[in-house]
Amino acid sequence: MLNVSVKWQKELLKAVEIDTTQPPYVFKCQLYDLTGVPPERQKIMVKGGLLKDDADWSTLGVKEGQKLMMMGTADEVVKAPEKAIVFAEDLPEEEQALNLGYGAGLFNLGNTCYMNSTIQCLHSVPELKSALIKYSHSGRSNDVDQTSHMLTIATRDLFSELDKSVKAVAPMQFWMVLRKKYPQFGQQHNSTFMQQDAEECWSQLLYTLSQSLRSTGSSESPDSVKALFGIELVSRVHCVESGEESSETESVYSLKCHISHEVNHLHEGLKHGLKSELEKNSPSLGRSAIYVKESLINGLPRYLTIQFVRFFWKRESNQKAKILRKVDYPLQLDIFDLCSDDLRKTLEAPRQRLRDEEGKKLGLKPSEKSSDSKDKDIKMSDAEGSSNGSGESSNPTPDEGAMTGIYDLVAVLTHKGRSADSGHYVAWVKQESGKWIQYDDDNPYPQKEEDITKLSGGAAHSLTCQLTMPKPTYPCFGQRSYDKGGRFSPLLISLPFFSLLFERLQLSHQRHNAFSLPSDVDTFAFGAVCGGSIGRHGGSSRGSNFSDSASGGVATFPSSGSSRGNSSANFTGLLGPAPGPTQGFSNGFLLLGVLNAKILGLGPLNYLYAIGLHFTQIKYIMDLLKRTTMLESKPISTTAISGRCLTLHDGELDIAKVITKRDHELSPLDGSLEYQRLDPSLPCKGAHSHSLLSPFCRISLSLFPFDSDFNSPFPCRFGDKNMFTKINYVSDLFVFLFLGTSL
Amino acid sequence: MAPQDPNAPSGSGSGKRNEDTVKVPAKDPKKKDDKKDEDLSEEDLELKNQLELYVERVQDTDPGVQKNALESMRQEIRTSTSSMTSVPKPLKYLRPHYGTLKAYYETMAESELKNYLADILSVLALTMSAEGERESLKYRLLGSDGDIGSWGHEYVRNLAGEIAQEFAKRQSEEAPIEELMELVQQIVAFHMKHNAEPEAVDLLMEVEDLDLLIEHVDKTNFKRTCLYLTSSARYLPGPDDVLVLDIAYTIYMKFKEYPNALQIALYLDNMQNIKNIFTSCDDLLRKKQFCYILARHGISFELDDEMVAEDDDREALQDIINNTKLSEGYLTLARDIEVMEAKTPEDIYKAHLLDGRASAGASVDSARQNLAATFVNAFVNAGFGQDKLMTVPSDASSGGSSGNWLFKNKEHGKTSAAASLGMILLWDVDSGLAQIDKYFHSKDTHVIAGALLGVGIVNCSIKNDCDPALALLGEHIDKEDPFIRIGAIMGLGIAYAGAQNEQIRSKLTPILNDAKAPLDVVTFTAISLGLVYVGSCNEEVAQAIIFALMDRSDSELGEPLARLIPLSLGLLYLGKQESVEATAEVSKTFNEKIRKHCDMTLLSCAYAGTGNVLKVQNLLGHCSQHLEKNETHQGPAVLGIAMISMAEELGVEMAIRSLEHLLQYGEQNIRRAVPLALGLLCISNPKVNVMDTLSRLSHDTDSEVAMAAVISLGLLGAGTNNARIAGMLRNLSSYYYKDASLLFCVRIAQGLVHLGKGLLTLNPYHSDRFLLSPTALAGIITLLHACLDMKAIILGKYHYILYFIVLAMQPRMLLTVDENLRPLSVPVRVGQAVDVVGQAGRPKTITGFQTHSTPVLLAAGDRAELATEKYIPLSPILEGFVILKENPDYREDN
Repeated sequence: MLNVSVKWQKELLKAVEIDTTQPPYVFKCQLYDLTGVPPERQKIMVKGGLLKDDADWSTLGVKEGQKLMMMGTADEVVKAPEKAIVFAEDLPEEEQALNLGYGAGLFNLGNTCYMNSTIQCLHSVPELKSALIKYSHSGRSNDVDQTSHMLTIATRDLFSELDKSVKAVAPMQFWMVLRKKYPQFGQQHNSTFMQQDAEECWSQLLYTLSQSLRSTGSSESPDSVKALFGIELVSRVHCVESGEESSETESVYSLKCHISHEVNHLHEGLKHGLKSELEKNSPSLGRSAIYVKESLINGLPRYLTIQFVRFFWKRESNQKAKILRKVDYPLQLDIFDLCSDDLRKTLEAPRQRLRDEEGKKLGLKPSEKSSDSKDKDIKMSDAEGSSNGSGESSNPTPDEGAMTGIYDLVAVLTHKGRSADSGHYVAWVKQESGKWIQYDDDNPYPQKEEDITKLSGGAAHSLTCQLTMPKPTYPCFGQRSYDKGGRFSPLLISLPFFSLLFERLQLSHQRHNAFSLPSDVDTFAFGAVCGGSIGRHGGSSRGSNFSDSASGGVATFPSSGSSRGNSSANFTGLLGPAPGPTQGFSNGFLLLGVLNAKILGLGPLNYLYAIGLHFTQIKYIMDLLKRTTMLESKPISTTAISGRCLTLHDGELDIAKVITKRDHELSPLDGSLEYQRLDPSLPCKGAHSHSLLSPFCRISLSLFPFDSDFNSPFPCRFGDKNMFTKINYVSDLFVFLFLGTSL
Repeated sequence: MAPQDPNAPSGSGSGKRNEDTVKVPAKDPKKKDDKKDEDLSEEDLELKNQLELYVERVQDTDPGVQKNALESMRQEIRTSTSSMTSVPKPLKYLRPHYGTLKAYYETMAESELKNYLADILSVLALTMSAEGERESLKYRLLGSDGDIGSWGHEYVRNLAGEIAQEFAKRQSEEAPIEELMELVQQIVAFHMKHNAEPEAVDLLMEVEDLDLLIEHVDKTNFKRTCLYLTSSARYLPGPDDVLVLDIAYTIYMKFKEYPNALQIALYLDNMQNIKNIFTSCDDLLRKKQFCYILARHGISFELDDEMVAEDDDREALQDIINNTKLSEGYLTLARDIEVMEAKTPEDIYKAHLLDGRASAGASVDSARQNLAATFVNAFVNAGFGQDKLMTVPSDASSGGSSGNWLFKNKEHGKTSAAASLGMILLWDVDSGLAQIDKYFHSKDTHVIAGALLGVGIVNCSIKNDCDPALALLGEHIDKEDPFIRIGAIMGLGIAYAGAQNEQIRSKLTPILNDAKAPLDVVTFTAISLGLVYVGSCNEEVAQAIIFALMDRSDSELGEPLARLIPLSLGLLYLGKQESVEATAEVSKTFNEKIRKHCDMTLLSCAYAGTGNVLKVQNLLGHCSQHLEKNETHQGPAVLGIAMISMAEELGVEMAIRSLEHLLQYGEQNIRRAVPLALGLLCISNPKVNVMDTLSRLSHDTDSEVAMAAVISLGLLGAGTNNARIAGMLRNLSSYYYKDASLLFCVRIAQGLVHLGKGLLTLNPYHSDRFLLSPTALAGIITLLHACLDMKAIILGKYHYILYFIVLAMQPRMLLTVDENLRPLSVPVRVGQAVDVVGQAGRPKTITGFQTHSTPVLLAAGDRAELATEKYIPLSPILEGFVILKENPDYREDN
């Protein structure tokens, strides 16, 4: 018999007797009485390990008064849940998409942001989706032409693809069909597709869908699109002079919000839009007279679309222009006072109910957001930006279809940019979860509701992004004047960017002939480029640096030889059409657009005069700046000026200002990135070396919008970080070289 | 040379004649004053004339006159050399005559007077002697052996300098040094009496006879002496540093400053000295304090009856060493600071503070994110015994919601989840084991593995008589299932780190040599052995690991995980410097895939915490080479730079600079290691410049660099709740919201920053940054080595390697206890520590302080001092647990 104490959790069981003649199991049973821990779950620590049930006490060396430790609980054993937990990582890709809570983005196929944004907005309308799903291949009735049918099918497929995919979708099929059906979207300018009006895309697409979906013959909703988007207007046309009056009804797909000086709020704009003057022949007067047309809404759709009329035609300059006035819009729109009397009567009862409920809610929960209330029918739309209306949709009212005339904002299609021909469209769509997603082509960004209302002025986003080519002139580098003696001007040549990877610009002498040089350029200073052929040709390329002396210093061609012929072939092969003197490089640019270029770092470009990256959309620049944390860097206006070193603090702060100052004289601007490698070993003639060749060695990068003519200094952003490593992800960019020409 | 009188006839040959000519005009100042004399005041002029007169008289033939003159001259000099802000006037005026006197000295016959003159020449040589001539010393040795201090400090100081030079010279010539040593004796005695301990120490170090110091230290100066000795030891090459510290130890022992002596003994890892301290001290209370210091250092130490006679006392003391009270103290701190409330991972992420991007809420659990949440939860609630995921009372919802969270992790994620319970209940063995128990009965092998690991974590740095960890884990290490084996083996490594437990060795070594054991089991076995025998240089373990490395096939050695095996070898020699050499030789025969890696690892581990600049240069050299394919040794080399130079502040600064260079010029594999090295250098010490560097790197295009930087941000701010780092990480979490791997790293880092809700530190240095806890360092570097290949290990299925960090986790607190070891709240001043080494007087040791009452948190670089006279602390360094004794002399003011 031994007496031991047993420590169990925080308790100390004193003086437990051990009968050493019995197996330890008996001891465990004793402990079971004391602690309630079943013997099989007891773990008792003795010297050398755990006490086994069949151990022999005598060999364990337990002494009188020894402290033993017992571990074990009577707790329930943990069991795995019956239903296995499903993890996001295990899901197939489609389901992961659901998981994100929002649909995928759409790739920009070349100025197709108008289309992408339109699709994203429409995609947010569940009723439209379900209607499309019902539409079948075979269900085409004869009154719908083949192209409409195809477009409908393409829309349906695209929508389902958006739902399924995690990654961005390339709407190739849809785009092709759209161009087929509406050839105007296939318009090209400088061999690239032109930016189009999202409003036009919107209305054409809706029209097509309404045609084809109506004809599916489904009995329940003969015209589902019309039910969803159609607005019935009843108009009173009144002639002031003759007192004639007539009334007519029409059905439209969107309300227009006219923007004039006195319009500050969406509501005012809508009122304006419903009132118009027209000139028509008055039967009673026998001549044309001014009629006033006042419309009221007679039938409300589920989704109300409002178009902000921001683009107009400037007659004097024969240009489309954009109105940048800020017009506020609410997250919830009540259009009751735009309705006709008849409609008002039907709206009264549901509105009363709504008010009652809200009152109740307010009483209980004053902070409850109105948008939560289910029975509210809302839709509003607004398109912001130029002439594009965008559709917005209401919460469907599932239980009682009663309309109240109050709409919640569910999607916004906006145009960023100052002018009508350029800019960028993005769509903001409210998800079922109540969250907002901004679809910027292939990138969906979650956003906050507050930000939506901040979009109210088109001017807020004043940077343009469209790719349009500057006039094909030979821009003058720096601020040199075109004097007869020796003009120094760079020639712009675009190259697909990845070509640089292969060769680090190893242009051989022969290859240069591949360029058809402008006839008026007699000496082409290729030295800068040729010099790029790395160290070992260094000697020969020395003579070929730019001479910027007024005497039109002749740059010699380096005889660097094409020792690396194979790879050079690659390079020129990618050069594409040569930039001619008049059509100019713009062609080159457009044809050579490279999607998804990868840049692996250029290595030292010893004698490169300057390289720029050209981005088709300014957002890429912003993106790049953001990624390199250079957003705060200032555009500076000096790159090309002699004898000036750049510092981070140079230049003007506002890139937009630089551009807008001369808004009308410029072709739309583009952004580019400039890269310079300044090599001290480069012989610089005398003290008046060009700044780009100035004898200090650092890599600098600047980012600047592309000017149509290079007469003025470029505003550019500058920094000495190794930005090239950051460009890896940028697709859709170009590279150009500045080469000096001496005329 | 003072300008000669322009009126003196040029070409006057002898100095004597010169003297005469000078003297004449001086007697009639109004007529023939030179410009210099015009500036002199009456008094000075008189002094000058007087001295010149003496000089003349010294050369008199009458010994009486000579003697008088010398006496007077000496009198003049002595009265003026006591303070030395500029050259004293008598010396200045005597300068022109130095040559004269020297010449005359040579002509004198041996006599007392000659010695007298030698004395004076010796003093004059102070300003006159040409560089390298050491004339001051020469004449001193020739002169009378009068009181050396009578000529003032500056003289003694100068003499000391010359002795050092002379000593070196004589040593190389093997000339006798006795007479020098005699002088040294005098000088040291003088210095020690006059608050110039650093000079005395410097001199003795130069003449390599520090033992002399012991005779000269007394109550008033031994503290400053030892302070100087210990801090200079860091900059001395071995074996001098050990010598210096031994002297310091002896001095401390002489004056019964046992806690300080103990620290030096710990620094030298000298167990015999520690025993001596216990046997020499007869105050039980002080012994308790020693035990607290030992416990903080994290070594295992057995008391015997020689050290503590009474059984009961010994048990109580051993309890302290075994850290059984750590959990209690930590919870006291937590309650005092009022942070007991458990935090959820969401409280840490603070997603609501992010604008815009708040990602649309996912409806399905993501295993990766849940795993991150598991770790964050474990880190944040470490040691608190309660959380909101794992320990929620099982009756809260049907089936126990803790089970629910556990199963929200996938496969091996469940291992980490179950083990997180160990982290939450850290140090609380009793209730920890009880709570983990139920997981042992699970049917899921991952859960069992996690429970085993959890047991190990709970027991980290705690020792228990019953050895529950060994008993529980021991029987699982040979199980079939590799997951269970790994869990048990890793648990043992964590629980017994530094214990050098024979039983564990005999259990684990067979696995190493089992050719059939999977690579991961072998790797974890090696690491566990490395941890258990950290810094022990145990040859048998080393052999076993070496064989394991040799046995492994070519392809296995190419695996990222296999690179941790050399690390385990390195751990055995952690900080042991030359002891590693034999093993390093052996490592040259390894498979070439691992050879260089092993070499670097061993080198860096062996010199970790030594500040050895030569080794740092060696490692930098390796980093500058260009790699052939598939070589991985530069990663450990970069970490090694940090490990070696983290020893002292200056080294840290220099290493940070060197690492910046590596960042710019190094190749990718170096760049990946640099953030980790930075994290190690400033662990739990959020330096702003490092923070900025890491923040920049966390956006690097190379995702592995970014991941390492993110993790390092976590290490940098570990346990500090640093708002700036927290903000950075929050922004990173939105920046990387689409990149699951990086997001995982960001989450881990967020967990680290809020480690123990900000009550913990990972810094392996403690006790005023003097001592380096080997187990803590071992834990950190194991984690960092694993982070060198983030994708394969941490982001793969071995994420539980993160739990090795538990070895370094310690409360960053000051908890004062009374004589019965109960917490006692007293006011303390906490402020930035000031370096007082070699400073005169009684300088303030802290600056910018605030007064708090204990328990308080100490940030990196903070030092505390008692703000009351009522108690006397038993440890001079107020960190961790400090016992306070009532001050018998204290009188309440009133």
